[in-house]
Amino acid sequence: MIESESRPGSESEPERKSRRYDRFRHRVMFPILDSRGNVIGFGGRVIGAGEPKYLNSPETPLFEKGRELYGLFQARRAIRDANRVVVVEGYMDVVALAQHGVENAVATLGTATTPIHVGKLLKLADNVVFCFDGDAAGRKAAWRALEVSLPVLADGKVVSFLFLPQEDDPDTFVRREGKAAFEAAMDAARPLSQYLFAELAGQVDMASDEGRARFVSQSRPLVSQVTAPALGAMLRKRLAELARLDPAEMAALMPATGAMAAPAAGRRAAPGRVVRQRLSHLDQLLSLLLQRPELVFRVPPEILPNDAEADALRAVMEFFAEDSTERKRKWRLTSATPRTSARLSSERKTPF
Amino acid sequence: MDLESDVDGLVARLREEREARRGRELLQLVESGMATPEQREEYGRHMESLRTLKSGNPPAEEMSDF
Repeated sequence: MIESESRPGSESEPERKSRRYDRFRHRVMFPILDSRGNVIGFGGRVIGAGEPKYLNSPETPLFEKGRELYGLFQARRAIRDANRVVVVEGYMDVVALAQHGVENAVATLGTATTPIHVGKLLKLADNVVFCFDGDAAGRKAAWRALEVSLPVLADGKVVSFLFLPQEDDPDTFVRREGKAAFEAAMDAARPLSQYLFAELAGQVDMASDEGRARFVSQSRPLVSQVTAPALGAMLRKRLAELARLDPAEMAALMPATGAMAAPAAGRRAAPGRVVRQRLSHLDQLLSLLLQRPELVFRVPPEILPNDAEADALRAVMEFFAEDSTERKRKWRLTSATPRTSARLSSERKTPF
Repeated sequence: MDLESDVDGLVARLREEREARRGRELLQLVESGMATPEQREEYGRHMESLRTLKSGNPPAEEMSDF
């Protein structure tokens, strides 16, 4: 059963009972590796014209697009050395960048960035640069990356955004301009705070009170997701400046809560010492469920908050719940002999 | 390792956090005068449960099926 479920899916079955054909025919195949270097799936880019341009292996318990990043296994060392990773949109972007000496690049697998992606990358490097095309689709993808980054950001980590000219992608840019120019562009990438406020301010009339009020109401739910104390405080301060509110007015509108509140006296970290953030209850729960997936049934989904961090946990729980139910069903089918089936059937008739 | 009780403990903490979140939402609604009668009633129940907890008398445990 495991073997059939974890097959990378390089064949399709258009008609179940007729012939099979190669899913990736007429495509360049990109092997997708897990953190240990095992091939868990493939991406395929069509050669010449054709749709879809990119095609991936179907998802399996081993291959989930929301968890994996193309090139991460190969780029690990370069990411650690540079203390920076650049996230691009396409497999060919990763390949072209590596060919030109930018080896710390990874790509999402044709899906939006998830909190799991960002969490993985922030464990490897302090600096994450999202590099997207300058078109509408690229801007949308960048905004999504910003939203999922907010809850997982920690003080000392920097997420920034690089938009290439509309006619360029990382592949064409690095081929034409070279490694130094691409790295210079990464150095000039806009930090998350700048990008966040510039985007929101661009949607309203900041010269009017009404426009600034709208700006505050749109910024507030995003800024309040930041649990990193120093970054959260700076974002709130910047928001107050842009909205022309004094700090007291801003504090009344958006009180510092939980991790955003000032740390207690006496618990200040020594200078230069890296502070490991305490795991949230959701993180602790995720960790326990990963060790014992069957415990998922002890967690009522309705107790989870409605935010990106909980969404990730919810997805894991749904997966485990389905998996566990299926396993139990299969176990019953395979392990129940006619005799035990009869006994189970007779037991079901009793009131208890 | 007793992972079951760890999970149960975290579930209890998350439940408390949910109650606190809901309490804050209701408080804002009540204070802004936007709360519906049902929300006011829910807020009353919430405050009552807080009073019980803070007085040091936890609510009675559910009767065991056995």
